[in-house]
Amino acid sequence: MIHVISKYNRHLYENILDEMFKLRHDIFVGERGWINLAKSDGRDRDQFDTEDTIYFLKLDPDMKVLGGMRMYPTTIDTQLNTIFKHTCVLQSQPVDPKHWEWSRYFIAEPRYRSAAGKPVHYELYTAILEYALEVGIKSLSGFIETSIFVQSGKMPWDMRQLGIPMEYGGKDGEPLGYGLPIQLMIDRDTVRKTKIAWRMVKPCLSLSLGEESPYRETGFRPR
Amino acid sequence: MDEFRKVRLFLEEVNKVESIKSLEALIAPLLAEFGIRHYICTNIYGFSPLPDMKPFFGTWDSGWVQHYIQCGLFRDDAVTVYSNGLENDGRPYYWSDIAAIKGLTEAQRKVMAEAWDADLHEGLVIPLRVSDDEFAMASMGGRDLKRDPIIQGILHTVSIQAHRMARILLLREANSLEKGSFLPNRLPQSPKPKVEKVTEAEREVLRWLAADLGPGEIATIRKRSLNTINKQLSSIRSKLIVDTNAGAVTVARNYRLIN
Repeated sequence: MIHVISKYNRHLYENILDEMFKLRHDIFVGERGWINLAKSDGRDRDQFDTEDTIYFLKLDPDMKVLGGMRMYPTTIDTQLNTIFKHTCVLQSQPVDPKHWEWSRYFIAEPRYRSAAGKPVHYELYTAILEYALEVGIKSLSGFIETSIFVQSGKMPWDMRQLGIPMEYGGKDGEPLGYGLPIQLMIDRDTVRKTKIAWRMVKPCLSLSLGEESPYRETGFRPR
Repeated sequence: MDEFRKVRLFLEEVNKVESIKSLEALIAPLLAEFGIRHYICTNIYGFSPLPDMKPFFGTWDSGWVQHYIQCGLFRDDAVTVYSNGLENDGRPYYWSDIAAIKGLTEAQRKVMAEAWDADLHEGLVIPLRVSDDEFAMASMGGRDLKRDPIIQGILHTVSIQAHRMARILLLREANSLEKGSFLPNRLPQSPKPKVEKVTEAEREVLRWLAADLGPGEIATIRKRSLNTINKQLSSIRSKLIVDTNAGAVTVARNYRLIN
């Protein structure tokens, strides 16, 4: 199950969020070589980690972070309207409370990065789509690797290009990437077909029950 | 830029095509604007285009294609060797990048020379790796193709979208489905993995593979030689009709050979 952490329940996840920032630093700076993200405190926390950012985290039974992602509304600074603005050559990122951006997808456990770990990957993405649908988010945009975009062609998604594939990075010791900005449209049919395609029968979101039992996972029947 | 306006128009139109022929008619003029007169997208669904030449699409130079097949040039074409990109990461590469590789055989160089003689002086290859068990590829060439990052990005866009649409059209046609239906993931005539021929020992190897163990570790656990495990993996890949161990795990899961 995936935990959803927003400004309303963040106080219940302080240690876990700190672990997440440390893991992100280990992965994005240490492993992927994005040295421009390096911080002296060993935590990857940037201008898009704000009070309005929502985090989706896969936690194991011991509350260890296995993977995660974040999203934030396009009405504040986003990657596509700041650092990657120049890549949106076909269409600008929509600015609207119902259009959000997602980024910093990571899987911490090496096991879950392999073909064997695909169910974890599916669970994280499905949870994000379920949440988006539930709160009325109409699209999720972001900058992704072209190889991931090609793989998404297999999914029943309306994923639109906001730009064309192009190289990025490769300067000052950073690795060279090849990506593009995209926008994934969200509707009930998309979520339903995604769950069918990935054989995700059960709900993926964890429901926070407040102060008394903040981490208890509960299931509910999807409507 | 005017080119981006054309790409925006293409992106609107590509979702409306109803047949492979319409798709080919849509991409041909756009490709021609960038100096491409030979374009072929093959290995859709992991199918080799030969011997039955399906499924694939494109707007090709008939003379070159005929010569290519009749002379069996596909056997020595370096382009197909690097179907997942020169860095094996799915990035596009140019034919001239292949020519710069030192390890090319004489036969491979001959193929490149013959393409040049057919007025295909430069080409671009776009790997289209949809999954571990599905590697398609778009290869295109012309006399005047410029090496330019914007043009490359546009051609990559055209290839990704045309391939995506071709998959949908082929699936829809093969399964006689209406537009908007939920599509299965393979063509009916896709060679079916011989799951019933996978032995219990091979299933055990697959389970360990799915647990992210390598052949050496599996050999240790199963108290077999590495040679034996590699032979079993080769047999598994052959039976499941995949090229990689990761593809074997994917197919095994899809057919519930393993949990």
